[in-house]
Amino acid sequence: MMLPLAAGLAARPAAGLQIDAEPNCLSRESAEGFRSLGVAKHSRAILLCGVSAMDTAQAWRLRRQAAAGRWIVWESSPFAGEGQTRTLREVFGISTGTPIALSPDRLYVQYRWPAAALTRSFCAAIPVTCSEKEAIALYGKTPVALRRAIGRGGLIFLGSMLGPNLRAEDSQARSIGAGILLSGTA
Amino acid sequence: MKKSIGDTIFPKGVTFENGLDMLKRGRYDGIELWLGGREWFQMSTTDAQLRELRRKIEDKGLKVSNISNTLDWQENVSSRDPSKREAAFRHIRRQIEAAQLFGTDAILIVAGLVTLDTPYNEVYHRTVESLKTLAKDAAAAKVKIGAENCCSEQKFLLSPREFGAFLKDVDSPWVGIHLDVGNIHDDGFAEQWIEMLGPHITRVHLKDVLRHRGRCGHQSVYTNIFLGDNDWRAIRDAFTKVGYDGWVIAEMERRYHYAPDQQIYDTAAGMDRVISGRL
Repeated sequence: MMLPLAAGLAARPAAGLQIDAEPNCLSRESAEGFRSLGVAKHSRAILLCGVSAMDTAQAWRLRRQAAAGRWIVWESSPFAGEGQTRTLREVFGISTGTPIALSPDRLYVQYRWPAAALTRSFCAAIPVTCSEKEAIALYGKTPVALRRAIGRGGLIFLGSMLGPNLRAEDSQARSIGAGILLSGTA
Repeated sequence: MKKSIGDTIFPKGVTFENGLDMLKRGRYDGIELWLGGREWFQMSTTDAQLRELRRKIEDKGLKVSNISNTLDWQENVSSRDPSKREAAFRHIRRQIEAAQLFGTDAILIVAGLVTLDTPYNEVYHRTVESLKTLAKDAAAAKVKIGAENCCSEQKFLLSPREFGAFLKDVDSPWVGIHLDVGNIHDDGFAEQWIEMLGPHITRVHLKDVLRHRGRCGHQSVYTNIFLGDNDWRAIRDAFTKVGYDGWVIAEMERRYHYAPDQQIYDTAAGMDRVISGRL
């Protein structure tokens, strides 16, 4: 059973990288991958690894933190359900679709930002509706990741897990991961 | 990417010049020269003769993509026999000299042969030590040594992670991998080797492979591009992923029984499709 993220986000300090992982192997491996980038002390992101579900109250707290200047990096689990879809829509106005099963003919997700690079897609990719400008990664022609400003910060939604690729030492993924975690620090 | 093919593909009895004409007709950009392969490039071939070959190649509008050798299977840097090991050093150093004479910056070697009586760990240490020594020659000449992944034939460096650790132990920017995408058959997936070893790739051999069938020669597991089990889309995408844009060199092991020159043209057409990504 997938458990929601630990409900400790509200009581966190206002600076430094915060990483929250669900108590399942996929989410933990992702967190380990992001930690291995070694940029934690320079990042001000709030990183949610492999999210499968989140209640709306918690999501609203995140939104307020984004408005105040933090960047929320929301990495979706490929096994996320309707709970995540509803929360993203209600709180962030983001529409996600049914996960796209990966085709053996297309192994990679094409990132445009923070670096133009290919990374392995992970199990499935969750399509997201967004403007051309907001889309930061495509699977084929379908946006699967976006970057949206909210007040003085914003939200980065990753519809294909990146953390496990970081742990697997994918060098292109690592350049993307570091850029994402350093969002808003320049 | 630029496309090349080895001079060993020239049909028997064809002169070097006529072989070059075939490559020109196939719209290749270059040629891979095999030391020890055909009569025009042996250990006894002089510098002056090599310069003459270069002139003929350039007269046809071609370049030399890299210098390979057929000799490592008999004389390897991992050999226990000091005379064979010395011979391996000699022919590899000759390859480096030839690379300079031909104006290219890469050679191919087969480094390390594990056999029934020469066990893996012994081969590993001797091969690392040998390449550390040869890396100094390579650095002085500014020529990269690409150790080819002949995994199943060498019984050595059987996975990309293992190959990466080996290169780390050699610890020289002048030693990398000459990656053959057809040589990964029973032991993995070419695209994963590309992803993991991307920055260390010196050159690429292209051929296809029939997994879990036969072995070398006419019983070969190797076949023409698109006739085997390689996932060419994944391979092409992986090259894009790691930013490899260098030479790709066809290495056709099994030969056409008739119209052998046609294999040169058919291979060129297949390579064009791989390079352009029209798959």
